[in-house]
Amino acid sequence: MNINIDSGDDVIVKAQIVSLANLKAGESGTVYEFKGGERLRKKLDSLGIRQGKNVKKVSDMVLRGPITIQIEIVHELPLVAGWQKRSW
Amino acid sequence: MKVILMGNPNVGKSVIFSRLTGTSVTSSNYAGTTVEYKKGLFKHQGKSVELIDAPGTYTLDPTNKAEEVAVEMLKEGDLVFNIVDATNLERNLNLTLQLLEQDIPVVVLLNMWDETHHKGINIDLKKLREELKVPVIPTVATTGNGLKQVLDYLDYREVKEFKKRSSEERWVEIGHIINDVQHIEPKHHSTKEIMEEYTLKTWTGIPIAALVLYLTFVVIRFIGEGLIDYIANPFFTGPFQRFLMQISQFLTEGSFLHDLFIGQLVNGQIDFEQSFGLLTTGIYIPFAAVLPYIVSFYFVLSILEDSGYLPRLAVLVDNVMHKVGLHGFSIIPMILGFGCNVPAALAARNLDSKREQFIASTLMSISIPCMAQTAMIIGLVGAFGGIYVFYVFAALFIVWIIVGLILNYFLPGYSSDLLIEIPTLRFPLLDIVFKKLWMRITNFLKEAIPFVLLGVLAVNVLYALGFFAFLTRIIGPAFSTLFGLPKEVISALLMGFLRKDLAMGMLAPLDLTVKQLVISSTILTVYFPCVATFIILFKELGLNNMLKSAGVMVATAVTVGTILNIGFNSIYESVVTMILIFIIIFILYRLTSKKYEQIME
Repeated sequence: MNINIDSGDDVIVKAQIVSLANLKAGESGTVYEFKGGERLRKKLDSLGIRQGKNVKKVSDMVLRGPITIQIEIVHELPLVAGWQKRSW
Repeated sequence: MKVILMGNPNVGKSVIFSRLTGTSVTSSNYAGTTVEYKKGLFKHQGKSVELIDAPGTYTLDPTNKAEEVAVEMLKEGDLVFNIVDATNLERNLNLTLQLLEQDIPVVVLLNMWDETHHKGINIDLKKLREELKVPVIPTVATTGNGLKQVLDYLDYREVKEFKKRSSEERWVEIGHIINDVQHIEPKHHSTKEIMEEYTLKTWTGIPIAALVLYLTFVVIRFIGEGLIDYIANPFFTGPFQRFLMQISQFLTEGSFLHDLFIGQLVNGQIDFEQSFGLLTTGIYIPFAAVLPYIVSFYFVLSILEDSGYLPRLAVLVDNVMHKVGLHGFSIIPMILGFGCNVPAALAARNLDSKREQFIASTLMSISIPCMAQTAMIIGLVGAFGGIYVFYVFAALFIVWIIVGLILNYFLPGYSSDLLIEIPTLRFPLLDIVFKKLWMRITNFLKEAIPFVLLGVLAVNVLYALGFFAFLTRIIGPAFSTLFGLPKEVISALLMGFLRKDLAMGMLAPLDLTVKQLVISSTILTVYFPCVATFIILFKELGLNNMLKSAGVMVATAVTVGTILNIGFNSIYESVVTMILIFIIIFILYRLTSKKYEQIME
């Protein structure tokens, strides 16, 4: 059970579990687990972010600001931004 | 019959609402909450239909106040129109399935149908209808396509038996449906998508935000001043003044009623800015001075809202906002404040908690000068050189940060996290923008005007009772020692309670040094909001919190005035003062970060 981090062209370079905060902008991965309260998990679930979903990190804001991620809908990815301190 | 529009945020719900309803739309708060919703009435084939635009919701298992309200509304409806974003079917179906599990008829509107083609998304409508067992109608809200068909289903009352599922089971079911009905042809990133990402990245996003905000202010000022110069002022100084002069003669100058309704005549004439009568200044302030800016502000705000840019701005500033106990979306009252503090104080109610509302309102009133005041600061202080204007704004910004850090540290609780969906950028539809504008303005008139009139009345009474003269005598000596300002400035400050820009104008003939001007402009912004804002704060925060907020303002004004007066006499002193200020900011910053980490643990 590992997280896959692709570098662009769907080539799996390495497989490891990282926190969303440590993922680089432009990289994507599969959601492996949530750390944080039930409320947060519920909220993320309602936004369509759940285990097994592929997400791509779009950007980091400086000084530990919000992270923006895209959630895979096979092709069209809606953007979701969250506060980094609650990285999961 | 009651029809409820339900759907995720950003699926075009409001546009569909506007298209289906005519002009009889009201916006109000849901009972006992600050959550606003819209209600519209229209007739279809002789029957009257009440359409309710429920707040956008992702789930019926509510995660916030707005979603709770949406769920409550569901109980009152005869029929639900579930609006679904066809380009984001998977996530949207989560709410759809939850709705189908309820005991209420559901019609699904597959909106943004046109965009599916551009994006290479193919949805098999026939199969989707079979899976959901309810009518599914493709619509394009922006053009109104498909909405005629939607109206044919107003009498739809079938409730299909649908198995109740857990969240897990539901996603599995959705997975099956998606596999069955949706086929996507991979497409490359379009230029628009690349542009959209630029607005969210730090080093490109911040310059873009600066440009957007700059343009916002230019346009707001242009429209606002245009309305004042070409519509409001000609009317007030023309026919309205002639009408009031007749009343003035009828009441005879100096009588009690004359003082109350008309006020003092200046050189035998009504001066709308100085007479202070209920019918003169009392009507002039809300309608001629504030309303034009409100109109232009709401117009530009509606455009920004409908373009999908605001959530991007919220993400960019969230970081800074968190330090003062707010989150990214509080940028909206702050921006509004630069136009007029009144709508800003009203907008703060949309924030997540009472705590955030309090912090946002207080910070906004303390350190954000409205457009009229800004213009006067630039005119008066700027005459000595642009650097002095910069000093005033730098001082206000430092005040904003320090007061914010302090409030965040001392107020119990902590601010909620920003977790938002970012919609795609799109061109706003002008007819929808105007409809929204109309609703907001009528709302503003209903909510704010009576209170502003009340405020002017109160000031009038206080003035007549000699309260202001008394105040000048009491605080005069302290004023000179602490701030190094002559006593005459006090009357300007008291005037500032009514109109801050006029108060700035009263400083002009006093022959102040540039330092005194910088100090008085800063204090004038900080010490108290104008009467209109004050009344709105009272209404929104309640007496207790409003007094607390006002206390913070007065205390801040005294501190800032004193520091500016004694801390910046020589270059050496200025450097020391600035270093001290930064040390204070640093310490406060560490304290609040620590508090936050403790809470998170």
